[in-house]
Amino acid sequence: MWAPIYSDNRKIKYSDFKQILEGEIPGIVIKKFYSENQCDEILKKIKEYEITCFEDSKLEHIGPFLMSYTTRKEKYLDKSKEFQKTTHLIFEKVENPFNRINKLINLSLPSFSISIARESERDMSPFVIRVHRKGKSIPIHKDNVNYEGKEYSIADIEYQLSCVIHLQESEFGGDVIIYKNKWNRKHEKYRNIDFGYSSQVASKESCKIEGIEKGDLVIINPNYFHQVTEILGEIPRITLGMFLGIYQKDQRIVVWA
Amino acid sequence: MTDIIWGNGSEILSPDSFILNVTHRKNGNKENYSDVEKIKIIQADIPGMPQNQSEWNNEILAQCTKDAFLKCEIESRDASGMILAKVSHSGVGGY
Repeated sequence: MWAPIYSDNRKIKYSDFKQILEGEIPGIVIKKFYSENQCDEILKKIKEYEITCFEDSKLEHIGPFLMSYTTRKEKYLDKSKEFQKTTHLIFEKVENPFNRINKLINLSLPSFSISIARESERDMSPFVIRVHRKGKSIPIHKDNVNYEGKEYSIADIEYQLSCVIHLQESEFGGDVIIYKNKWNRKHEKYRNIDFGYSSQVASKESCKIEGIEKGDLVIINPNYFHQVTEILGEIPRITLGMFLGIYQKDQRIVVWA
Repeated sequence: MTDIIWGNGSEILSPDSFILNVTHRKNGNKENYSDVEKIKIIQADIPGMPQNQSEWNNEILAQCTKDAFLKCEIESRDASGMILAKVSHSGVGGY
């Protein structure tokens, strides 16, 4: 059975990383990566930010993410710099996610160094916060910076992992489903116009990641097709996402969104 | 309103033209488009394509367009049947 590994001790074995990179498991769930109180503190700050900056519109993202700037590198880097102030504000009272991931990597892969990815000697955005409201879903897609981020130096990473911290779950819907089907260029013929792929890329073998709770960290190999089902509850689904780029030979990991 | 077609890049014809295997057409397009069209790029927004057109060549165009899902905003069709279009890598904008 293709099922994720659950960990309670904020530590992952090297063999777990290997399994996820090779598609032998669909994901790793680190329970209580942030405590409920810490999530509440972060959510309070997000709410304050939303009221200040998004009075008349519905906030969907806090922070830039590279895929929106594939051919606009300078703009992405400018936005990443601007975002630094916001990250200090949101993580004023709680340890920021980069530091926490740093600790996880130090414990789990002690021979690897970890840093925020840099481009043109500037820091890239280390994470993005997504607010998904009722009715929103994320179609089947993959994330592959080697292919879509080819104007950036991180396009030469050997492996990519996706880390998503679940800060708030909706009452219904918003499930994460991973398909045991790894993307390749030939799948581009199944693309949807706006984003994602038709259901033809969905393999029979798939995994709905069960038991995700507030504060959990979910790590997947984003080169395998995945989706988030429609949010059906009134409470928005709020997540914080970042990618890990792994340079196996150099024993180095970079983080970006 | 501009006609738009989408599809996957295929054979390279020259440093600025290629074959598009058309998969989607905008509702309301004024013209009809076949399943295979020749496209000449008049403006590009494709990851990896140099801004300066003098740096384009067949190899670079192949790397950036082969199999890639592309959006073509059509300006015109020339006497040979080639479509002149603004070409961008479609739908990588994230979610």
